[in-house]
Amino acid sequence: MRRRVRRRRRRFDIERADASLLEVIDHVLTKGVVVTGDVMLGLANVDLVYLRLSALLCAADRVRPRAAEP
Amino acid sequence: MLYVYALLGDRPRRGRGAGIRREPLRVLRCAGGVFAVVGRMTTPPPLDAASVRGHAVTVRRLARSVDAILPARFGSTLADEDALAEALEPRIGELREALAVVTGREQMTLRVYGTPSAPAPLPGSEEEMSLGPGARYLVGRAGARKQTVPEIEPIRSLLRGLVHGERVARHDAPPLIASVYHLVARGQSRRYRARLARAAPALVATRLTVSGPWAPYAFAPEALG
Repeated sequence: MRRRVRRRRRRFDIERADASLLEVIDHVLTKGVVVTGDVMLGLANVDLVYLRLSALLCAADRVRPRAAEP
Repeated sequence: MLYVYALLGDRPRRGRGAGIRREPLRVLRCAGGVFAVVGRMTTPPPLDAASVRGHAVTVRRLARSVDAILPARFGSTLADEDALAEALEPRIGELREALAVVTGREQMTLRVYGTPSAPAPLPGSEEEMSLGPGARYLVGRAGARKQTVPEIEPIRSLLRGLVHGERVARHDAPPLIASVYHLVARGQSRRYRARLARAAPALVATRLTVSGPWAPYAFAPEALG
């Protein structure tokens, strides 16, 4: 007979989110020293595109809420 | 073009390795004893998972070989060494200060989930004016510090002595309330996690996730500007 183990819901979970790509994105794209006022990104199959940091931060904000799971 | 990975307080002790595109990394000595780690590229890296992870991996490797590091934001490019010197020279003072703060330290990141606590009364509001003068002063001070996380106040005392710096970003994306970035001495991440685990009973309707240690991304001068 399978034994059912009831897990008590914990209010505090220490999740090892280190490997999460979204964690990496938050740190690498929205933090760190800004050497210049803008960042230059290459987009696949598109000529060199010059993006303002504000646009980049908007993109990160659109991605980040997916990680906000209770 | 030069792609900037990080600014260092000293030359790396070990090999620099390669960058996102396997390009050899160079260490450039800048003004004020600040060093920049760069790679030479013909085009900027694409915004994809491999490049983003590559940047993070490169920064992490550099952080292991130097005591003080300020990671550069992904996509930081300049035309050449002269442009790098021109960009850094006016900011050398604040960069040296930031490097001093992060020397021998690393970052732990908390994500705080739950129901936001009630906001402080707006300055000049009827609610604020109903308070006594002392309370109004405190509300005013709290309002000036827009980035606070009262939801984790119950655990702050347990982290005392471990945390040497804090940066906070509140979010308008419930249930994600805030991100808290803590600067801890290198090698203390396990103790930091253990103290957070002991703090669990003190939290009410709040959930935390923790990641790290990271290089001190959030402690660059403009990281949360």
